[in-house]
Amino acid sequence: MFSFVVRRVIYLVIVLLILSFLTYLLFFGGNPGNIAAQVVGRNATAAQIANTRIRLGLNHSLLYQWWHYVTQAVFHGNLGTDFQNQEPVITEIKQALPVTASLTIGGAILWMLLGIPIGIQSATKPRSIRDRLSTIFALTFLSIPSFVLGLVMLYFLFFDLTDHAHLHWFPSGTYVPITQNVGQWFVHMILPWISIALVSAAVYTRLMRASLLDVLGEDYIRTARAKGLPRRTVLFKHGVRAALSPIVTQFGLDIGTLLGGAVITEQVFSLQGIGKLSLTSLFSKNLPVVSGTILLGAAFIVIFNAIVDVLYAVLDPRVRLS
Amino acid sequence: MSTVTAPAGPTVHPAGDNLLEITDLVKHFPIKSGSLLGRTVGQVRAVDGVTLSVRRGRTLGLVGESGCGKSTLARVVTALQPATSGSIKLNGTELTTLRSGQMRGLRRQVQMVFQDPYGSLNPRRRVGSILGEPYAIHDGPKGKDRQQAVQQLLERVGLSSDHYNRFPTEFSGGQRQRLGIARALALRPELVVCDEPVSALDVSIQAQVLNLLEDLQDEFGLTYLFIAHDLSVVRHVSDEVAVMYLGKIVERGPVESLYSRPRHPYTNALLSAVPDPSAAAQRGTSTRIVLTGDVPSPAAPPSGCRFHTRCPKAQDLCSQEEPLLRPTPEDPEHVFACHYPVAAGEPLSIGTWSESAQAAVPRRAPSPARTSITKNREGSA
Amino acid sequence: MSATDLVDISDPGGEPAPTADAPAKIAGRTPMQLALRRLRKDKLAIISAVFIVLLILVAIFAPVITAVIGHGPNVQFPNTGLDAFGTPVGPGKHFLFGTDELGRDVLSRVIYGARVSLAIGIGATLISLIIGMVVGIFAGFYGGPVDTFLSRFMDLLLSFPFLLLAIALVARFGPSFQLVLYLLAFFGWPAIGRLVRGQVLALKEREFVEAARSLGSNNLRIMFVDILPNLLPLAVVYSTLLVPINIVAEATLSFLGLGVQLPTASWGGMISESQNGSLYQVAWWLLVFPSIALFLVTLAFNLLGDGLRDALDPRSGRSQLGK
Ligand SMILES: Nc1ncnc2c1ncn2[C@@H]1O[C@H](COP(=O)(O)OP(=O)(O)OP(=O)(O)O)[C@@H](O)[C@H]1O
Ligand SMILES: [Mg+2]
Repeated sequence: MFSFVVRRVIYLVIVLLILSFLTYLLFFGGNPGNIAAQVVGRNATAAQIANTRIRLGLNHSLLYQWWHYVTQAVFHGNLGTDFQNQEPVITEIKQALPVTASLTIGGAILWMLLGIPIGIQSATKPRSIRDRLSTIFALTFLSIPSFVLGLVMLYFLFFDLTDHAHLHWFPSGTYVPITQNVGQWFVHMILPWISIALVSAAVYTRLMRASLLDVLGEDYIRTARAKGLPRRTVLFKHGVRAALSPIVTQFGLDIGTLLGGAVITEQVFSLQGIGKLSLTSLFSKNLPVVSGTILLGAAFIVIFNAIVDVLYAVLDPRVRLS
Repeated sequence: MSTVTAPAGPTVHPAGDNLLEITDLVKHFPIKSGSLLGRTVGQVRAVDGVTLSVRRGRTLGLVGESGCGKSTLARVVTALQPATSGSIKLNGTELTTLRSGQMRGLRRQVQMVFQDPYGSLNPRRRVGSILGEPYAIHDGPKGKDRQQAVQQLLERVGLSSDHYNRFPTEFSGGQRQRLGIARALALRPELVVCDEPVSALDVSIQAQVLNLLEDLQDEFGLTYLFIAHDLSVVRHVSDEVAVMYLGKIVERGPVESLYSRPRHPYTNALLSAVPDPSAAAQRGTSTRIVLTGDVPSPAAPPSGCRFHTRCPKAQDLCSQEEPLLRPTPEDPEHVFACHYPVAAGEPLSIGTWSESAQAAVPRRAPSPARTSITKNREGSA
Repeated sequence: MSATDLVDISDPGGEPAPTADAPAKIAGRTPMQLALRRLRKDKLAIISAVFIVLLILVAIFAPVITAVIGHGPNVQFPNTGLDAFGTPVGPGKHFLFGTDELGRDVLSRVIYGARVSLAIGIGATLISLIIGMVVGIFAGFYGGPVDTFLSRFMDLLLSFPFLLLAIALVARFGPSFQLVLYLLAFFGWPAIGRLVRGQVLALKEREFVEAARSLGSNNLRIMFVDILPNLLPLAVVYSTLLVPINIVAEATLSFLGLGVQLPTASWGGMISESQNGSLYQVAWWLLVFPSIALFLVTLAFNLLGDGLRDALDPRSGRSQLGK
């Protein structure tokens, strides 16, 4: 077990190094003069640009630059400086991360609470009314792009209620830190949570249904029933438990992806999370911030992947062999 | 197309004119360990030194229990799998050393009829395309000519030329096997290897397909290597019969001689299980013998005579020294490999042999049983 | 155990097994015919298919249709299309779907938006399909190290963060139609590749592959003449389900400003414009019509794909749980 974890961690580090190199190459591999010119501003002289090149280390080889970037990031938590307001990128990320984390965790809880039970319901009674209803639920929300869903909710539950009916049920627009006021934090997050959760809930419903149907078609389910075990016991102890593994994989992937920036929801609800930070920096050509957020996102995904793998190995020893 | 329809006429072949000669043929499958490196930890000795010959225009029947290596032998002969060692000569040409370019010519001469009429026809291709495939691969007739050739083939195997545009799923098992036969005949091969061609069919259909095979043999002068586990089927079609046990030939001879006077105890046991009164009468006994115990694993075959673990006549010598094939005094064509052969009319002692009216030689076991052979063996050894 | 269970076990090919030599009339339909019969009973799927065909026609003939309406997608109508205060006019006789902040006809723009959505949705799917099929066939057929390498690669791509990569690539190359197309094609194929690989793994053990080999087929011929036709039902289903995913992804990218650029009309771009300065609060039609278009086309593809899957695999969903 221990050696498996060690191997997995080594693999993780290698993937992260490769990813960081690719990112670095993509962002800074082009024309260093150009980047320096951007940093100093439009009216800079050639000498200023040359100076900046040296200050930013752009005169070194790409490999050296990348290595410098990685060591700075790992040992000093330094992801470079914002081109525009000269703030360290890490500070901006630290401000944005709680927003994204709140969004992700709350949303995940909500979509699991919705998706899993509906999926189980519809798998235990395939082709029943409930199954059909859940299929309609799933297909509907799978067909609504999440940004449309968010905007529609904003329109009806925020503008309509607030502006026309003067009901301030669902405030929006700003993020209230949880440390500041838990109640306000919660209320402000409700709409984004629903928006992020509904589409995912549809995905998990389908996934759970398909996976559980597969498991329930197995002979050992019939055997367990034939032994006289009650239906519920068989369903949950033998069925659902076995059916959960693809869901765990998907969950790990989803959490990793969202922590790296719930770009769509943050954009729709104007939440200053990682995704929004990345997007605004992109449009203002603020490359250090973009590359910083992207690396962070990639790191989250790779790490959560590894966590899922290790979880599997703990639960099912056969995995370690392959 | 003349290649299909023109009857070759019954060619009279001189005796001793062998189309196929197999000498010391060996096929081992490596057993890989589960680890990443996949080290070879053993060998499944599926075919382990087989010597056989088939006369031109004749049929050699090959019988044996499930898992004894019949299909493997067929695959090696048809070059679907490479031989581990040994020689296969067709018309005097060595096949095991052919390069892939020369292999194409061989494909025209050796064809195979498969056991499973459902699995061996591509369910997503039409009959016309399935039967036209041999021509497509071997630069045969094209377009209209090809269609005509295929339709003639269809009629020749007892189907209708209207079936050209159908899918295999629209046919019954027997009809599908006719399609399989038609495909094998398309290139006018010399040798046709039939791997249990009727064992998946209803008994009532079996005879029709067997008769078709015999008719085609007469018409095209085909040579058959006919594999089966059903001895009455083999007797029906064969001129010569070879009995296989765990990768080796234990007895071989002309049908009459082998069926009336089997010398190897294994052959004897197989024959006693045939529910054929005339055959039993010929042997002068109606006792049915049941082989007890499991077939040993071909990955670890018994020493000496491979049959000794299940043989009623086994003595110390049997486990120490491997018996070689030797001719019977009456007929030099009839050979067997046994230290203590069955004498004519020898009464069968009761011991590991048991008498029973119901039991029969184990028929095809479902495949999972094969994998459990090793475990059973370890338990009883 | 029921009789049908027995049939399943004895029939490895999964096809109906007619017995004996009796004319196989009852079961004598091809798998495709059987599937089509089942599909025909699925009204939602049929309606969806009709809708999709109509929409494709609308997209193809967009220039003709907008010419008939009389409003090009990028033509501004400052006199009729904007009221005295310069705000867009709502749906009415003149402009069926209203106008946008520049006085352009929303209906014409929605029609032209269908071109972008369908071109990218279907185009990216086709590219994914071809790559996924080829890679999946090679991985499944050759197995061994080839398979290990290709499968690992596909797994890696499957765990790639789509939006992050989109942001990174736009940062480097700038947004464009082609970038969106290639990006979506690139993200779509590993899923198809993995599915195909799994199927090929099973198919290559079937006896008809051995039969083809004994006739003298080489590997390429076996892969693409014998195995490929057996993959088509799966390919059809998953392509149908991949198209809506790609359409939504394109709209999302355009919404975020990473996709098709203005003034080209795309549904995502239109929705993004409507969000600018919360314009849709006063002009709801700017949000509603492109959203409905997007929703309907996605739903139609999803319903059709679902129906196709059920039609092609009627055995899924048999529970052993009992009452
Ligand atoms: N590709 C392979 N790899 C490993 N072992 C194999 C392979 N093919 C066959 N074997 C083994 O070789 C032995 C002989 O198999 P074969 O299929 O030739 O038997 P058979 O006589 O045709 O049996 P049946 O009557 O069931 O068709 C079996 O033990 C089988 O498990
Ligand atoms: Mg066999």
